[in-house]
Amino acid sequence: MSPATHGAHPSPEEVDALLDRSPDTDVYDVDLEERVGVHVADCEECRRLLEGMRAVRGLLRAEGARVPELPAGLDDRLAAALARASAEREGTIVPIANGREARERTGDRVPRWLTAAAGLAVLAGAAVASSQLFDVEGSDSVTGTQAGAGQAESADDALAGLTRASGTDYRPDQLATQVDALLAGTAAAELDATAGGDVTAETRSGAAPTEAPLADSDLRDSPLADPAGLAACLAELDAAGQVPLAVDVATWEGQPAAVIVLPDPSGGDTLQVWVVGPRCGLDGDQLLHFQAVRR
Amino acid sequence: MRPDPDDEIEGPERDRALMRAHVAGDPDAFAELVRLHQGRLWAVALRTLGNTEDAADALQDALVSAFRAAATYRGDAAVTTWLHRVVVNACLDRVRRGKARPTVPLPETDLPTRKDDHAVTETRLDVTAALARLPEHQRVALVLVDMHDMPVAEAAQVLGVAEGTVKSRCARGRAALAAVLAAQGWNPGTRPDVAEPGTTNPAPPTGDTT
Repeated sequence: MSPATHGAHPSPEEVDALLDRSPDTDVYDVDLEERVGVHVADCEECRRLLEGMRAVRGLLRAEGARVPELPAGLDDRLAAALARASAEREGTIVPIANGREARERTGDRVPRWLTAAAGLAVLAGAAVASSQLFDVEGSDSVTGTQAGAGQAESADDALAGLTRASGTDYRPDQLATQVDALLAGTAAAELDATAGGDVTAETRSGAAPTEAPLADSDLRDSPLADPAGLAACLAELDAAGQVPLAVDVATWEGQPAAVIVLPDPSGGDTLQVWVVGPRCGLDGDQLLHFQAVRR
Repeated sequence: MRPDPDDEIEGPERDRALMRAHVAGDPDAFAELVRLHQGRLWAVALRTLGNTEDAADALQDALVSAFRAAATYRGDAAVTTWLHRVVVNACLDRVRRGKARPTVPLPETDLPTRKDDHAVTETRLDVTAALARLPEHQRVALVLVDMHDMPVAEAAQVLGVAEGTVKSRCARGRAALAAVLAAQGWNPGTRPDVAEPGTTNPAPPTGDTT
């Protein structure tokens, strides 16, 4: 601060320093304070400034004494936000962005052309299976679908009919086995459909699947049953354009969820398993679990 | 362990105990901390940003950030100081990123002109509206020091600046506010007007014409 003189006006900081002046304080330069005080006493403009500062501080203190109430609903909103943060900390909910990070840390980057090609090859069978499951027209539709599977004209076409409702209650300690069964069920349907037969519960390995008979009603309300909804979900998972190996609207530890299985981007035998909320982030982030599973 | 409500721990020590409990994994400790201080934190956010929507968004962001970053709290300052710092940073971040609703700024000159008061043209004073027109660094300093009676040293910790910087911002902010209010017909020479409880604006100064 520049020393004040009778001729030069003090700075606002110097004038402000007079607000709480006391001869006992050791905060300010007492000598400087006396010079500023002498100037202010003789200068109408500076005296008015000091009065204004003092009065403003009084107004602000008075205003500050009134504590504004929280608006209606903010209390609940804050509690919900903290509850989400708490669930994240406990590992039960992971923001989808964190899931992407986890995937990238494991090196699971997805060359889309490779994944799409792999997905379409599987989808050929899945589309056949779907037509068997949801359309009772018989082998003609199977043949026709087979012929057209390799020529899916749009991303939505590739995702149509992919989603199932197996009734499985997925759990962390059983996930690998359950995913095997999910895929085996799909694969079994491929084989059966190719042979022109009905869908059966047999699997390639002979292991009994955990799937209950499909219930169309379970899918009716799921946005993932709609190709556009599933595409939006995949985009949320940073997997836009990819075609899952399986999508199962089921439960995760007893809670409604959806399991999405994506192929290994490098073509290996590791699968990416995403467990998401039943609406898959369409109403906000909700990634329940992410795991790389070896076939 | 979360402090027992029946214990006599109060104030800063209670807050520190709740923070320790939260970092140790207590699922309810942080919510209790928020319950104890959210009113004051809300007031800071509202007065810094000037509108309910932005303040609510900033406060939510701040509390979630504080929840996640609690392990970084070293205990050097009071928990409330740390929480205030998180809230203020969230508010200023919104302003600087352009997320906050625009306010009408004061003219570029930082200091009031040293001229005679203008003739009275308005009867009502709104210190809150005038405060919203200050540059955010001056506004936040006045919100903390004058409105929330925070010691300059603590405000310096909240803002992450030197105490002299806080004093300078307060001084210039008070001067600028005085000029804005004087332009609205306010006469600082009269007794400072205090808003009646339940009203939004302070009572008009005595002697003003309508």
